Amino acid sequence: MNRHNSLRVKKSKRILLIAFAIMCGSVCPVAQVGPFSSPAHAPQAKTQEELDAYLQIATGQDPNMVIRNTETFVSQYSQSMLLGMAYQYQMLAYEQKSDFQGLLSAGEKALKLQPDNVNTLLTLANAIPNALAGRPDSADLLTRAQEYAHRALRGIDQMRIPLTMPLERWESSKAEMVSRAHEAFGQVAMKRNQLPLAVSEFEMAARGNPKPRGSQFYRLGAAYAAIGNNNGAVTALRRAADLGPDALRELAEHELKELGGMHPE
Amino acid sequence: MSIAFRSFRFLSFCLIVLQTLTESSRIWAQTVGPALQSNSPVSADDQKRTLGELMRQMRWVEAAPIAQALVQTYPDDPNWHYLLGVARWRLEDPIAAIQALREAENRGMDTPPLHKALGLAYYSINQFILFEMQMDKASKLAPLDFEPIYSLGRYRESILNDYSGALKFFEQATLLKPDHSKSVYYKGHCQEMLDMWPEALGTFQSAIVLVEKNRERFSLPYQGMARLLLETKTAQALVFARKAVELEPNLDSNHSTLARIYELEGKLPEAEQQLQIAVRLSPNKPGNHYVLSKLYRSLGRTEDAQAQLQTFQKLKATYDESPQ
Repeated sequence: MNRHNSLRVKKSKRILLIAFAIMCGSVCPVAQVGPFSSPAHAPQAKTQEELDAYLQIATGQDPNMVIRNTETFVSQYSQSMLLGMAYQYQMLAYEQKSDFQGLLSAGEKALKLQPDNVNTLLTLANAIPNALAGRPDSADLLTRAQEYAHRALRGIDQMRIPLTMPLERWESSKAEMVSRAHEAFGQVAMKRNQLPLAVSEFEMAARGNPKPRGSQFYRLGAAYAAIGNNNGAVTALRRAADLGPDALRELAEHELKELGGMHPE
Repeated sequence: MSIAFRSFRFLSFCLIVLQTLTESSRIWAQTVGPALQSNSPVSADDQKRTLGELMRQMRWVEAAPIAQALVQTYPDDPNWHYLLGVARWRLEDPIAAIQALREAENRGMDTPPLHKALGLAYYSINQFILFEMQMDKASKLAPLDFEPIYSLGRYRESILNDYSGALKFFEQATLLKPDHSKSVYYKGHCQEMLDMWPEALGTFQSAIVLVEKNRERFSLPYQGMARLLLETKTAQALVFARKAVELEPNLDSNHSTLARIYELEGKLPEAEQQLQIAVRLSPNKPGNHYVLSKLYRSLGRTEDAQAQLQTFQKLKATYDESPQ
C-alpha cells in the first residue's frame, strides 16, 4: 500500500508541476490545482530567488527536504503568492511519509490560501477517514472530510480549462476527480457504519473512474462484504486483484480466499 | 491567439538560439572554467563540438545529455548551464530550463541571449514580473535589439490587453527593426483595438508590403485588413481574407473571417464550409460553434443549429477563453 501511496503522491506532484507550468495555478489536469484563473491572474513570484526557492520545493524528490524547504520558504517569503502551492507540496510530502497530522496541518494551511483548491480538498477528504484511529475528534474530522469532498465536487463543476486542453482529456480528468470525491464519501460512510451508502459511493468511485484503480475496487469489495453481498464482494475484489498494484493484489487475494472466491469464474 | 503566441515563442527562441550560436565568441569570452580535458574516452572538446552541431541542427533530445555531461565536467562554467537550459526549454521542460538558466546567471553570465531565454521561460510558466525584468535587462544590454521590446509588447497586448501600452512597445520595435512584419502587424492590431481604424489600415498595409517583400507566410495583416474592410468594402475584404487563408490555412480565425464575409455577401453554403473548417481546426473554441449555429438557423436547419448551440453552451461552460 505504501508503494501505491507513493505512486499517487508522485502523480499528484506531477499534476501540480504541470499545472504550475500552465497557469501557475494552471495545462493538463491543470484542473486539479483549483479553479483556473487566466494567466493574467496567475500567482506571481516577485523575485527570481523566490521562484528558485519555490521550484526547489516543486521539484524536490525527498519528502523530508520538501517539508523543510517549505518551512524555509514560508519564513523567507511569508507574503508570497506561491505559498498556497508550496503548502500543497508539503501536504503531499507528508502523505508520502504517512504523517497524517502533518498532512492535515499543511493541507489546511493550503486551503486557507486557496480555499477552492480541488487537489487539496480531495487529498484531505480521502486521507482523513484513514487516520481516525484513537482520535477523540474523529467525528468532527469525518464531518470535515465530507465537507471537503462536497467542496471539491462544487469546485470541479466550476473549473474552466485552457483552450489547449482537448475536451476528451478534460472529461477524463474530471471523471477521475469526481471518482476521488465519491471515494471519500464512501470512506466517510464506512466509518459511520452507513454501509449501503458506502457501497453506493464506492460503486460510483470505482465504476466512474476512466482509469480504474485497484484501491477503489478493493474498498468496494470490502463494503460489499460488510453488507454480506459476497457475489458483489468477490467481483470487486477480483477486479482489484487484476488492477493491482502488487501489495493491494495480495490483500485482495487474501480477502478472496476468506470469501472462498479465488476459483475462476 | 494561443497558437499565434506559441509560434511567436517558438520563433523567438529559434532566434535566440541562433543568435547565441553565432555570437558564441562573445559568450565564450565569459568562460572562466578550467582548461579543457582531453584524456577522457570522449574528450570534452569532442563533446563541445558535438553539442554545437546538435544544437545547430535543433536535435534537442541528443543535445540535452551532452550539455548535462558538460555541466558536470565544468560546473563553474556558465555556458554549459545556459546551453542545457536552452535544450531543456526546447524539450518543453520549462522548469528544468529555468533552473539551468538560473545556474548560468548565478555563475556570472549576463548576456542578452541568456536574459531573453530566461524571460521567455518565465513567460511560459506565466511568471510575468520576472519575464519583464529579464526583458528589461536584455534591452539594457542590447538597446538596439528589437526582440525584448517586441516580446514586452506581445505580453501587454495578449495577456494584459493593454493596447495603448503595447502600442508604445511595437512603435519602438518597428523603429529598431522596420522590416519586422510582426511588430508592424501588432502595432496595427493595437491601433485597431484602440479604434484608430484609419491608422490601423495604413499599418496593416505596411505589414503586407513587408510580408510580400520578405516572402513570409504570415497571414494576420491580411486578416486584419479583411476585418477592417468587411462592412464597408466587402469585395476588397474578400480578397484579403482569401489571401490570409492561402497563406495560413491552419489558422481557424482566417476561415471564420472569410466565412463572415461570405455571409455578408449572402453566400451561405460557402460561409458554412469555412466555418466547418474553423470548427475542425479549433474544435474547443465556443465562438465558432455559436456562429455556425446562427448560420444553420438562417438556412432553416433547426436541428443542426440546435446541435451547434448545445456544443457552444457546453464549451462555454468548460473553457476559459481568456488569453493563454
